[in-house]
Amino acid sequence: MKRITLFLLMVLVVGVYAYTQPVIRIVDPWVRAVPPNMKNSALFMTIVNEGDEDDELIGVETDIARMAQIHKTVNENGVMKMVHVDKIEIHGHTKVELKPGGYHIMLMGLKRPLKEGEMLKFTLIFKNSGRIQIEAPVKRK
Amino acid sequence: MLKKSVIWLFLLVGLVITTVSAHQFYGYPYVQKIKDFTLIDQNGKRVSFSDFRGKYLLVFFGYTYCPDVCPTSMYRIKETLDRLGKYKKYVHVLFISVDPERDTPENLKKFISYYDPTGKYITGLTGSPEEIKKVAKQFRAYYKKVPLKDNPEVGYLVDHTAFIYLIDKNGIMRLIFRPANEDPEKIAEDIIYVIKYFGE
Repeated sequence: MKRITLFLLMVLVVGVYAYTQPVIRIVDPWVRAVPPNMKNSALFMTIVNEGDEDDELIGVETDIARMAQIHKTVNENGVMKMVHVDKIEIHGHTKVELKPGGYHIMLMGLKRPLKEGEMLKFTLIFKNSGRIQIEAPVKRK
Repeated sequence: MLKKSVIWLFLLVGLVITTVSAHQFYGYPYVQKIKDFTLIDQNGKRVSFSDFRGKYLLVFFGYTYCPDVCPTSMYRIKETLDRLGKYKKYVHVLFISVDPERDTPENLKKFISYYDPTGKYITGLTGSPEEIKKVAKQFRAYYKKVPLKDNPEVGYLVDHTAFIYLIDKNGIMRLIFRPANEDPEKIAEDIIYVIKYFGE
């Protein structure tokens, strides 16, 4: 009896834990191939949250650039502006697309030229899910 | 006097084709005679807009430090050129820098050769800030430096309009493609239509 109670309690705890957690999945990450003298590029991907709870992308770490920031390109009456944002919210059971002309991780001050096809490592930092390591290929598109 | 009436005739013809033609333009029809200007190309030579007479031109204002919009636009231009087939030889691209302080001819050369390794289809143009300002004004291209905080590596970005202008072989603007005009196939169809209309 005691054992069953303990078991049920564990199921409940795990269940609640599983419910409250966001479940983050990164789909098709890629880095834009740029001319060899360019100092900047960008990382794109789709962030899927398969959990119930919301999460937020709050930072990105990488060795390839001196700085990686979350940016958004906005079209203001035809003028394309880059806006630095602190975070990207990904609500439960939704996805956010980081794509050219929209949200992207701006890689500033590339330490070396990027080679088409090579894989680059990044650590994405989420408010709830913590640190997620990804590898993204350099693509020309 | 005669020259002026010829220009008016061109404008009139342009207006007529944009209104009665059956072709649905993907780009925004706009007729404007572009006044001649001179800038410095990627080889450090002074070249004039009129040197490109006889070619259909795609003009884009951007800068080589540009992290998202310019690579996207340049890639779209490259994809468009690849879809022009036998008409590609009538088309030339002018990439005009809105960041002349950093975009030296050497920088421009590396940048454009990435999108055009042959060096035949794209010319990069830079100049003094005053020269660039004058040229941009004619195209109603807007640009403004935006300093980046805590970022000496990049220093500043430039907000700018990202239109692609199609100029016919006589130096008259015909169409404007906006950033939302993402499809290179449709841009190429417009260009081919205009080339067929005004002649190769």
